[in-house]
Amino acid sequence: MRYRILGNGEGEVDAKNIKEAMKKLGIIYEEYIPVVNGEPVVPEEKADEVLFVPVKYLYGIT
Amino acid sequence: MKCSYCDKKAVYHARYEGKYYCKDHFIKWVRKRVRRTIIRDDLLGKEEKILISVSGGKDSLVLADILSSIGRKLLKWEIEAAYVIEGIKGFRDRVPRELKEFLDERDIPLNVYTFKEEIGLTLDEIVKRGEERGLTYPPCTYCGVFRRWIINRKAREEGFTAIATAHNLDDMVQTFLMNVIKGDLGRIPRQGPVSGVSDVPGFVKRVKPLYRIPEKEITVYALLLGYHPGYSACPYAERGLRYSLRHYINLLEEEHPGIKYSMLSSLLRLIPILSKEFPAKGGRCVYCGEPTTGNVCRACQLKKELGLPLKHL
Repeated sequence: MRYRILGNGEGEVDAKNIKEAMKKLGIIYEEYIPVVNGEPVVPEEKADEVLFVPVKYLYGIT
Repeated sequence: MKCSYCDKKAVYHARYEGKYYCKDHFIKWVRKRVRRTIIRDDLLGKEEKILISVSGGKDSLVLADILSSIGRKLLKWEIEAAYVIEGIKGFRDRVPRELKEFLDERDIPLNVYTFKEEIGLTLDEIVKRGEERGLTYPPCTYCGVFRRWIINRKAREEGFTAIATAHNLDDMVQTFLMNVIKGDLGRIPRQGPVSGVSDVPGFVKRVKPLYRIPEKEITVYALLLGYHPGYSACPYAERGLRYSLRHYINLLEEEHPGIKYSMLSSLLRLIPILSKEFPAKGGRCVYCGEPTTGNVCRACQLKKELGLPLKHL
């Protein structure tokens, strides 16, 4: 299964599910939104390609 | 995983309440909570002229979307947006096209103000001037103070009854802990969902309708609306105390879901207690007339230090 991280460079990691991938990638769920086809997904859900969008890169000055 | 309320696919898992939400139910859920916050905390009345401070980031646009969806259907709200161009070369030197389109789709007029016109210098020029004069303030100090000053003044002059900002749950908790860590307890009473020097004539209240919504849920809401703001970071952004706190609070939330709400609850309970210890003193700045807690507002203090012209009222 492929996982991509936006903002931290793109890479692939072999994992069975999103939660395991996040652990292998060393990222915290609260700081990232896993997105499939433009929509966020629940962490346990499986997908062919997952994009991790870091919350901090979507952050604007309010 | 299915939505806890229908058979559709879930797009979000609220761990702190153990529920799953599909796209439609997620959007309804967020809007309902914001509406409930506005009513319970008495943030806005039935008739208001609201100025939303927008940055083009996800938070302020989600706020614009929710306020326009609530206010236009049920209430007599007049809503406009304010965008401040600080003048940071290559980052904040024009109105983003996506922002204009987003607001046009919701019939929200956009007011654009610039540091150059209102302060006399762009932020880049202010930072340079500050360095030349030996001032040690970080760029974010000038930016925050002057942005608030411009928006407050414009709101007052143009008859707005409220300024809405997009501070979210994460912002509230981070600022609260920063004030505790720095021993700046006098700032905590001013951290409530309605803030400002309310006993000064001409004061425009500042409200935070998103203060109970976690940043992550605002991001999900923005993604579901199809809004993907640019990923460029401010060149002046620093990895200070807030950045570290954000990381550690997220770690805690991961281990103990709901901890951000517990911290918010502590903050809300402390505000009335600390308000007695640190009562707000309302007055008007002798130079610009804006509400301030002393004789001279922070913006005019900075202008003075930068050698910018000031004149008494």
